[in-house]
Amino acid sequence: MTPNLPEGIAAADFSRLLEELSGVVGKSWVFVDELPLSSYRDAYSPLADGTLLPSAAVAPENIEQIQKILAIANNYRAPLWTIGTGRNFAYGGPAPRKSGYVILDLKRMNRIIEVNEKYGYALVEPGVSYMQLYRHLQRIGSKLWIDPAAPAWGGVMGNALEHGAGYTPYGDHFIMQCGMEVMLPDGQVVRTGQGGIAGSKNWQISKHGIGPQFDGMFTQSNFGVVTKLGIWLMPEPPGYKPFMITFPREEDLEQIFEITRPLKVNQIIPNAAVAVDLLWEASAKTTRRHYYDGKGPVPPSVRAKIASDLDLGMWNFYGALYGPPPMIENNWKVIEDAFGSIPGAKFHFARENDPAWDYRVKLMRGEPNMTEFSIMNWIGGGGHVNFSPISAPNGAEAMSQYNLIKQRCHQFGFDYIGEFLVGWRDMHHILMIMYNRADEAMRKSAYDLFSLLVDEAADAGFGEYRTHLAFMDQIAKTYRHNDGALWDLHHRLKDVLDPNGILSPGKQGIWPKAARG
Amino acid sequence: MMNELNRRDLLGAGLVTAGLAGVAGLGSVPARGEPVRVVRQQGIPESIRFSDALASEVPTASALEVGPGLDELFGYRPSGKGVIAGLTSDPVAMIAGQLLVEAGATPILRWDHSYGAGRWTHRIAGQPGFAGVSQFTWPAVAAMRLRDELAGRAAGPRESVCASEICGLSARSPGFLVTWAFRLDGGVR
Repeated sequence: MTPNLPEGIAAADFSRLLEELSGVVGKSWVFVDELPLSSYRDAYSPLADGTLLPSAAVAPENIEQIQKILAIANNYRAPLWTIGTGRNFAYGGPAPRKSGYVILDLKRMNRIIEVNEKYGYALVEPGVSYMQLYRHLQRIGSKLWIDPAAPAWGGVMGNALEHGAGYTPYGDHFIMQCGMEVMLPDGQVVRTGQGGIAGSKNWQISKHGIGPQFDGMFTQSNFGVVTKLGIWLMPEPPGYKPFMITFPREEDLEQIFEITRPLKVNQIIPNAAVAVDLLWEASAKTTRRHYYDGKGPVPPSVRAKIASDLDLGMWNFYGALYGPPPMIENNWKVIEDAFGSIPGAKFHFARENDPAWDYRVKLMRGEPNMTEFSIMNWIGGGGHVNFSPISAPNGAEAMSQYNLIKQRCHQFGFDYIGEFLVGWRDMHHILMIMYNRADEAMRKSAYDLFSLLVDEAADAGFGEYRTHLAFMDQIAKTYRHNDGALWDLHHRLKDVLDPNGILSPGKQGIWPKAARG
Repeated sequence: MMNELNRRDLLGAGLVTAGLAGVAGLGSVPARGEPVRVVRQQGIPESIRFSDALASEVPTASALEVGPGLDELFGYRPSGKGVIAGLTSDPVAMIAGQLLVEAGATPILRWDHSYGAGRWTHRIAGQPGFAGVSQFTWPAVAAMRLRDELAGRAAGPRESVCASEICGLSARSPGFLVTWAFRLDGGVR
């Protein structure tokens, strides 16, 4: 028995809780021993080791079991932390928001319920990974593409619920979801949109129905357990042209996004285009220790050598064109003329022995892989946490955000390792703060840097779109328009839907009444 | 150079178990003759040397080749009894560890090898033994040590940090590697 009990639950009650959970799913699917529970740690946590540990985990295999688990949790007022595949690393992975929570692990619910070739969608359960869906489509000879996040083991549902992004034209995963089945904390099952019609065949075709649309409410939240999700899949296009453009100067960033904005808004570049900084790009093929053994950020002279050795720019812009070849060639002319106006811009359509190019080309055509994990070799020791502010695709704004963040990274002794990803109208800036997780001082410094960046970005008007467990409360407080009215609304909903506060307390800074004080 | 390792060193990504007390003897060592699957990471010279050395020393060893996309790790379904081991980059060690623990495997050991200031530093079980070993041969030494662990000739519970002489770093080496091993007892979940 672990001593790491949920807050407010006595040991005897906890034992009874576990017995009751075992009665629902079977003893072998309730985990209390240290070894199986160790797989629910955040391997890359910016917090001190062992800060966030569950008391137990329970793994149901169907919604009837979830229903019973919720009833038991309500009875004991036991906090459950819901995970799908649990691969949300850099944002907390499978770890709970607080120690002692019971993990509600939905990995066993990994059925691909439907693939509809005609209309281009799939209906999946929470445990379905990108790799699993990809392999399934291959096995059945489907001509549909998935849009994977960079790590192939990520969950199709989980990533959409976390507002994650991919790299094909279907890169905004929440926009591409269509139709959810959700279990509310009291065990009631609801289907959103057309799913509300009994026997509807159009659940995955349209998000709209009569009345309010609730899908967004169940993303990055703790108002229910999503048990099924529809996701639109892109039909394989007749042509595909990936490209990379390298730019030699850091200050080119401003012009890159002035040019990108109209190309994106007008859908000349249809996919989630990304401008990757030198070190992110380099780290997929070399490490810092090959170039620089000193403390602090890599000096400009060394950066220049890395760029020269690896034929990279200070910014490396990836995009792709899809469709009939004549259309691709027409659009390419527009892109080439536009970016060719930046002095030193260099166009690449194939690169030898370049794993970064290879994995980006795969991602932009919907092939999942895990290559991006290799960038963790840059420092060694694997720790990383992603700071992800949103801004407009505006050159001056990108430059100002880049300068602010780079300066702070350098001040704290870190390299700036980041990318800007452009969606429909938005730009996600992903800063990867990398540290050796065995180096406590470095880890603490990464934490402090992140925390400072949250406040400074908020002061400059930027909010994060996603965050690590450790910073959820801090970031929630930066949404302070009208005295924090948005989080007041979240809390009012939480209190009505989940009065006992059993579902993922503290997720995204949304706490049950009892925990708000 | 001998140092005690702290808990965080041992509980690195994936190979985490709150109850692990030391580097050696973390799980029960598999019986002789059990199959050993060695994860061999393409393009990483140390991983290839380790795999080759282990294959030549352990008759039951066979390699699982892993490319840069790591797809093979997802295609691999551990089953039956045996050991899965590797000398790989840290991210691969983390990913393999996560998948294996979820599959019900038990960690046997984790040794870290990092390059800095012109030398390799090895955090290993037992007495230091890498001091005079070249950058080219240390993976084979690690393989021999693992072989001894698997044969029940464990170096003992004490951990040590051992730095090599000044040496180079291969252009294709990630410079931070992990020797790891897990045991499957046949009860895959």
